[in-house]
Amino acid sequence: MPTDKLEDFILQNRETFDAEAPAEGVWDRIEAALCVQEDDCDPFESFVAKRREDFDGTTPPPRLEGRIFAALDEVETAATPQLRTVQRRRAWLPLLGIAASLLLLLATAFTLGNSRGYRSAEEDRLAAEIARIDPDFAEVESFYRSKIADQVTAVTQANHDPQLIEDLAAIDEATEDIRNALLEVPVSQRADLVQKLIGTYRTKLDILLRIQRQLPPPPMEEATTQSNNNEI
Amino acid sequence: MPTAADFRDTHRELVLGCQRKDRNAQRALYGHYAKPMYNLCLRMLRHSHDAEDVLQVAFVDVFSKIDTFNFEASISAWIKRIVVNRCIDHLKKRRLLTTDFDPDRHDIIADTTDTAPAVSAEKMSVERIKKATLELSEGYRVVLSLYLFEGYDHEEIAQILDISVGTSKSQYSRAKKRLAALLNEQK
Repeated sequence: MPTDKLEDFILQNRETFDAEAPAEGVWDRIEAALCVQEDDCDPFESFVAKRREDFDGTTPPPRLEGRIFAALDEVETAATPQLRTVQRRRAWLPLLGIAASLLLLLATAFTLGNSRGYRSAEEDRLAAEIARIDPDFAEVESFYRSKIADQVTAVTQANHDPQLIEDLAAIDEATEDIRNALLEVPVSQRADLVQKLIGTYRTKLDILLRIQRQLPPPPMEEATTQSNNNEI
Repeated sequence: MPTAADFRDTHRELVLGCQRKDRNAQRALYGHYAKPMYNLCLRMLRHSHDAEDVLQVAFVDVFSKIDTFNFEASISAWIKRIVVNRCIDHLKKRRLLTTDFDPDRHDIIADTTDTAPAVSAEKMSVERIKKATLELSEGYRVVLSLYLFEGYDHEEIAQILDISVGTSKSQYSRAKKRLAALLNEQK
């Protein structure tokens, strides 16, 4: 029936019939009318309410995100109970799988358009370029590199599994390759590449921290001595 | 128009992801709230390094305690309350709030009915108000921020700061007067 079709059409497009927006000045007129009625309007409060979002205009520095998630990792690492030795080895397998996937991803991204090369003289140029793109990037990058170096030391000192060491070295190598490629891509693409680089640092740090959670607890004797030393 | 349930369910999937400790969900939730919460910290604490430190502690708290979030309130209100509490902890640790809220230093009821001096329209701009707010004492700034910018009422502020409702009202009234004076003094 035509009427049903019309009804259906209206119901199906109900929101479109409310698409018009009132003029911007309407609220001011309503507010002014309310002020006359209530006699307690505060122009200052009205101004803040009207421009509320503008008061949140300051952007947190990018380094803050890195600090928060590194702190969260430490909290989670401290809170995770240690597993038994037999379970540990098994638990690494998926982590190493993630590491291997990351390695593959990094290598693929790298081979798409960049050549490799280690030149210590370029280190300064790289740091300067990253700082030029955004000084905060340089700070975030430095933060992650330092954190990752600490975690790699902690993980490799506590475990001498050659496969683990080999995988970690391969991830390091692939990340370095991407980092070195920064000077070779067009300038317009460098900020994006730095963002991706920082993303890989985050992932690498996540993996290292997760591996570290599976590390064995300190020997009982040492732990007991430590505990005794703390007693007065 | 969004219902109360809609607000409660904002970012539901993200919150559920955070409860599973999914790092991508945690990053996304941080991305949604970092800016307003950072600005809240800046208003409350005044210095960017303090704001960064407190925001870090607050978000670690958020993600550590998110298991306890049960969708009875909105996630934004829940996060905001944690950030506010960490700001207050920080100020109390530095003993910046204790004297400001000492009832002996204030005539609690007085002044609440007085109005702040008028501020002409040309003296009101976001930057001017931000600048003047940072010049307020800790107690004034905290109450003004919580009431005017964060939308808490005086009962809630009294509970947050462990003061009476009267003290909150008095502080707010005085803060507004001082702010108006600062705005009028600005060139």
